[in-house]
Amino acid sequence: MSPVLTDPKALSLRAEFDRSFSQSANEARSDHVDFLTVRIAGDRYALRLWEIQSLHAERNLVRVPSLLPELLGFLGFRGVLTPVYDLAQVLGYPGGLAARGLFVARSEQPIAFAFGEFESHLRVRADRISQPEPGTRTSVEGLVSDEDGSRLPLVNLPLLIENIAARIKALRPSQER
Amino acid sequence: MQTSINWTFGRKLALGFTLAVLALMLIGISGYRSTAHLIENDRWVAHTHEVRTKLADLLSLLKDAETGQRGFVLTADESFLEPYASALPGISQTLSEIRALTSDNEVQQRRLTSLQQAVESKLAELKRTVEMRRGQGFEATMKVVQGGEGKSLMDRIRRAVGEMDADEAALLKRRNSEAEMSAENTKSVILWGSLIGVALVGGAGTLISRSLASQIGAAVHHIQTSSAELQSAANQQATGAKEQASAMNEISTTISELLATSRQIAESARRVSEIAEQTATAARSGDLTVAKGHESITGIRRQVDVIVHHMLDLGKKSQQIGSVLEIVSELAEQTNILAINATIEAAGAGEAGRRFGVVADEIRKLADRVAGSTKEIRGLIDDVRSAVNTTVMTTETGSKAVEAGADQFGLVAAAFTQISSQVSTTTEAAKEIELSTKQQATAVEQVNVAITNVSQATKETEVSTGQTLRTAAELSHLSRELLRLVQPQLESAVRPTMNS
Repeated sequence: MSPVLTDPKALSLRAEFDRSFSQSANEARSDHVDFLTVRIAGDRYALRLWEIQSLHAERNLVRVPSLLPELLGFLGFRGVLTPVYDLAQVLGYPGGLAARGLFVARSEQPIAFAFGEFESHLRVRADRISQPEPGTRTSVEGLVSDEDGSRLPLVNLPLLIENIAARIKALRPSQER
Repeated sequence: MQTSINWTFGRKLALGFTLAVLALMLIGISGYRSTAHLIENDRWVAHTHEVRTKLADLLSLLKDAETGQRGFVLTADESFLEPYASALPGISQTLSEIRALTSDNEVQQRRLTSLQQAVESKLAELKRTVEMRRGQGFEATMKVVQGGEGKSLMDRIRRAVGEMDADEAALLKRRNSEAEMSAENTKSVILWGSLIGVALVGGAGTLISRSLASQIGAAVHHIQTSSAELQSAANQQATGAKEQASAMNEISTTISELLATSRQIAESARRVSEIAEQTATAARSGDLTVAKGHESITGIRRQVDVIVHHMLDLGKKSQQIGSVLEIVSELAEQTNILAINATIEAAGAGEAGRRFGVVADEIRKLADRVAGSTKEIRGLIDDVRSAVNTTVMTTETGSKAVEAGADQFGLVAAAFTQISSQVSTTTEAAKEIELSTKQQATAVEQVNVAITNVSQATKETEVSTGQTLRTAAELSHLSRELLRLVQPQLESAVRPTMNS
């Protein structure tokens, strides 16, 4: 038997908890898009959940020397050696920022990104996502409004991966020579 | 001249009287000496007359004795011997007196010795003839008488007496001449001395009179001037006396007010004394209250220590909860990550993973709620820890304040004891002030009486000043009268000036 709650905050939590069980699964998933929200240097960013293969807490990297400053090192995920890049540096922040979380991107080549801090899972309706202007290709491709009305920049993860691949490709001939 | 002008009246009068007295003394001394000399000469003249009289008496007594002897010799009648018998003692006495009277004259003494021998011889001859007449009869006796011895002795006596008398007569003449001369001198001294004395006294009197008239006139002028100044001063003094009388009245009024104020102060001091005694009682009561308060503070201090201990314990437990909550938070985060990964995996599995995705989503939601609740709890724990820390700090501050309060209570207790002592001192001081103020009131009353007396004296001074003013006017009038008496011509010349 649950204790009698009198505190308003506790009552609110109890009501929300009970309501979550009262909603149907289909209702919860209709016309909604899943995102992950992270913090980089205090700034909030949104990532499409279907572009992410797995999410992990802070792990020990194997650091290697590299011409790419954003390459932090390598990690093994399910037997696959995966390079880990600093999402902050890729987005244009200076290097050396703390990174407590990382995720493996859904891509042809294994690639992972470390970021400052995992914040939450975000599910918003599709109409609350502002699309970028057609023809523009930037690392941030629109804004996502959360339940509080805050507008989070949406990271264009495929473009970042393309850029990294292009840079690697640009470096490779010189290494072969 | 300047010195004589500046002489005082006394000196001038003394000088004049001294001259007159000196003149009178000279005249008196001269007259006295002349008169004394005259009297001395008269005494010597009388002395000489007495010596001559005694000599005549001696000769007469001898004649009496010889007369008696002759009668008896002729008649043998004893009655004829009476002159003889009565003359014998007188002869001896007269000789002694003559010797005494001529003791200063050696020549007369020698003559007297010779005379005395002749007299003794004569008396012996007379006695012998008388005895012979009785025994041998008339004839025998007549033979002896006729022998002439008796006559010879008598002649000798007469010559000696005559010489002495002649000498005395010469002395008498010389002394008469000296007496007349002395009398003349005396008359001359008296006459001329009187004339000179009159002239000196007259001259001195004239000089003194002129000098005194001059000085008194000048002094009278000064007196007149001074009288005018005195009148002016008396007028000012009268005005001042009136103002002083007015001021004295004001002072008397002020003193009366001061007296009333002193009585009010005495009453206030009495009330202060009563209040001080009440305060002393209250201070003693407060001392007991402070002691009780000190005990209460000590109890509060113990309770505060217990509270601090419990609060610190609560803080430690909150810290432990926080540590556990960190683990719960990490678990929730890991669960969330796992749920997200499960969701991703379910989405990757397509339709087959949809049901699993629903479960994973529910798990993720639960993990989210756990994370949110954990965050809430962490916030609450932080609030509790902050509140505990604040409470501990506040309690420690309160404990220190209680300690300080206890110390302050000790100080307050000591202060109350000191207050009690000082209030006792204050009570004594208030009583002394009350007594002093009463004494002051008494003194002020005495001052008031004295001021009243002074006021009365001032009024009397005012009256006497008026009298002084009148006296000054009379003095001025008298000075003019005196000036008129002393120097009429000056007074007539001065009057217009005075009147102007």
